[in-house]
Amino acid sequence: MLSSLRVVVEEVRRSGFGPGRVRGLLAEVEFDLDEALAEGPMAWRLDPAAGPQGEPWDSLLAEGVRRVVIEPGVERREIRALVEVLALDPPRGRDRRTELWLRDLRSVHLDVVRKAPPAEPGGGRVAAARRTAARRMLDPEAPAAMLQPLPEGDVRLLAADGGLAWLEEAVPLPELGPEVAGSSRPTAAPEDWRRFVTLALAASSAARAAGGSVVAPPIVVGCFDALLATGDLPELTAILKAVEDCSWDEAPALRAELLTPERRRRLAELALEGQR
Amino acid sequence: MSDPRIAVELFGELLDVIEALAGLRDADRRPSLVPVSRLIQDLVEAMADHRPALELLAALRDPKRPPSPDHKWAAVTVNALGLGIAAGLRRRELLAVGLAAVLSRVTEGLPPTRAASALVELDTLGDLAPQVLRSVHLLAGEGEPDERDVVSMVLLVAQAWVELTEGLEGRPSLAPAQAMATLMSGRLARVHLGLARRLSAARGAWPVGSILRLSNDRLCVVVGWSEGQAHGRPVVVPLEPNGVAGRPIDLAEIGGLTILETVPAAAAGVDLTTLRAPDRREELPFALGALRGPSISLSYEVGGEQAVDEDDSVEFDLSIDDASLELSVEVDTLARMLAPTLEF
Repeated sequence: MLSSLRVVVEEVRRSGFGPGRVRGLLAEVEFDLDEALAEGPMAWRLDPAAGPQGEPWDSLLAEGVRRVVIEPGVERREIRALVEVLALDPPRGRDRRTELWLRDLRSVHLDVVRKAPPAEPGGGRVAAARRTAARRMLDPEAPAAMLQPLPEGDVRLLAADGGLAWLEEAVPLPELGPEVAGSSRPTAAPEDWRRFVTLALAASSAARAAGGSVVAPPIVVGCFDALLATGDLPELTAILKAVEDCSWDEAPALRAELLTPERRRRLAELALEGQR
Repeated sequence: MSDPRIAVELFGELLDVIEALAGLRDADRRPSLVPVSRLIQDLVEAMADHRPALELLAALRDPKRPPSPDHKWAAVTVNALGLGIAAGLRRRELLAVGLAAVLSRVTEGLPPTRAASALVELDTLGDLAPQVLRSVHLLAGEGEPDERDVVSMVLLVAQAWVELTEGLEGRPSLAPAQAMATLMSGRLARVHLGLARRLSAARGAWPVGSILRLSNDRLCVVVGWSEGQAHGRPVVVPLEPNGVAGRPIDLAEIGGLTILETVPAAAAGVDLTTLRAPDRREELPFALGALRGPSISLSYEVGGEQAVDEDDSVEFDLSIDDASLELSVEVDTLARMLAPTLEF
C-alpha cells in the first residue's frame, strides 16, 4: 500500500496530477486505503541510515521527519493533500513539514526528531552552543546548516504512548462571540465521537501497559456528553460497552462517572423515546 | 505525557532565535524563516501538553534586572499562541501570530517605513506577508486595529498582558490578577474585550506564574491545576526562605489554607529563576521523552555530549541577553514543580 503511494508521489512529481496514469494510480490507492487501514494505522518510516533516497524523501529526512503515520478514517482529500505536499516543491520560505502542518490533516501524523546542540566542553551549559546553532540555522547562505543537525542510525521512534492531545482538537470549543468573526474552529461530526472514544480507550490501554499516563477519561466523558446532547442512543450504548470491555483498573470508575444519576435519567429518556 | 524539559528547551530556542534575528537586523543577508516556522509549529504542538510550563517560563524574570526585549517578545509569542489556540485560530493564523511576534523584535524601534521595508525584504514570508506586516505594524503602536483582524487582536491582547505583568515602559509590574482586571476593564483602547475574556477564561483566577500569599503567611507560586480544577484553586509550589522550592500543594484538596492576595514578583522580592529543587539527587519523574502534539510527535534527543550532570539534573541556561541578563533555570526543579499539573 505504502509503496503504491510512493509510486504515486514520484509520478506526480514527474508529471503533475494531470495525466490519466497518475489519476488512475491515485484512484487505485484511494480504493485500497480502507482495507489497508482496517487493521490499524500505517506508518511510513524514513530511515536516515538507508542513504540517499532522492526527493522528496531526503528533504523530509533533513527536516527531521522519521515517520508519516496515516490513521484509520483518513479522508480522500487528506490523501490528495499528502501526495500534493510530498510531490510538489514547497513555496519559498517553507518546508514540507510546515506545509503538511498547515493543511490541518486530522488523520496524518508526523514523527519528527530534533537534536540538542552539543554541550560546551567540560560543562553542562548549552546556551552558547545553542545560540550559535540558532544563528547558523537562520543563515540563508548555508542551506545545509539551516536544517537542524540530525542523528544518524539509532533513531528513537515513538510508541503509542497515550498522547491523545490531538483528540482534544476535535472537541468543539464554545463559539467565540460574534464580535470576533471567522475564528471558530471546525468541530467534529457526531459520527466521529465513537471513533475518538475507541482510539482513546485503545491508546490508554497501551499507555497503561507501558506504565504511562492515561488521558482518555476526560475525552470519553466529553464525547459521551456530546452524544447525550445529540440523543444518539446506539452510539452511547457502544461507548458504554467499550468501557465495559476495557481491561484497565480505572474502567469501573469511568463507567460510574458515565452513569451518574443525571446521565442515567437522560439515557432512560432516550430509551423511552426510542421505544415509542 | 511527555517530558516538560521539552517546553524548557523550546522556550530557550525561542529566546535564541529572537536574539539571533535581532542580531541580523542590520546584516546584509536576510535570515531564513524556515526554522522559525518550525519552532512555532513545535510551540503550538507543545501547548497541548505543556501550556503551564511555557506560561511559567514566559512569566519568569529576574526582579533584579530590567526585562529584556528578547524575553518580552518570547513571552508575547507564547501568550499569543496560547490565546490563539483558545480562540480557535487555524494553524495558518497561528503561524502568522508566531511570526509577527518574533519579527516584532526585529523591527522594534525602527521608523514605520523602515520596519515595513525590513519585513518586505523577507520574501520568505510568502502568502503570510500581508498579515504579518499588518500585525507587526499594530504591535509597534501604529495604525488602528480592526476587529476583523483576529490575528492582530490576539497579539495585541498578549502584548498588553506581558507589558502589564512585566511592568514595561516605566510602569510598575502588576500581579497577574491585577493585570487581568486591567485588561478586562475596557480602559485599554487596543485590547479586544472578547479576547481578554477568553484569556481570562483560559488562564483562570490565578494564572500560572502568580505569586500568592497564603493564610499561613507563606508565599508560593502557581504552577497549574489538578485535573478538572482549571477554574478552581490552583496547585502551588511554596517558596522556602532559603531559595528552595517546597513540595507542590494542591490547594483544591487542602481546605485549611486561604489565598490572601496575589503579589507582583518584584514587590515580593521573589526570584523564581534561582529556585532550587528540594532534593537534586532524586530521579527525575520523567524519562527523556517525546512531545506529542495534535499532529506532530517530536522526540527530543540530547546528543552524545548531552548536558546531563552527574547528579542527573540538566541545567539549561536560558540566556536572554549576552551582555546584561542571564536567566538560569534548573530544569529538574521545573520538572518537579510542574509534575502535579501533568498527571491526568
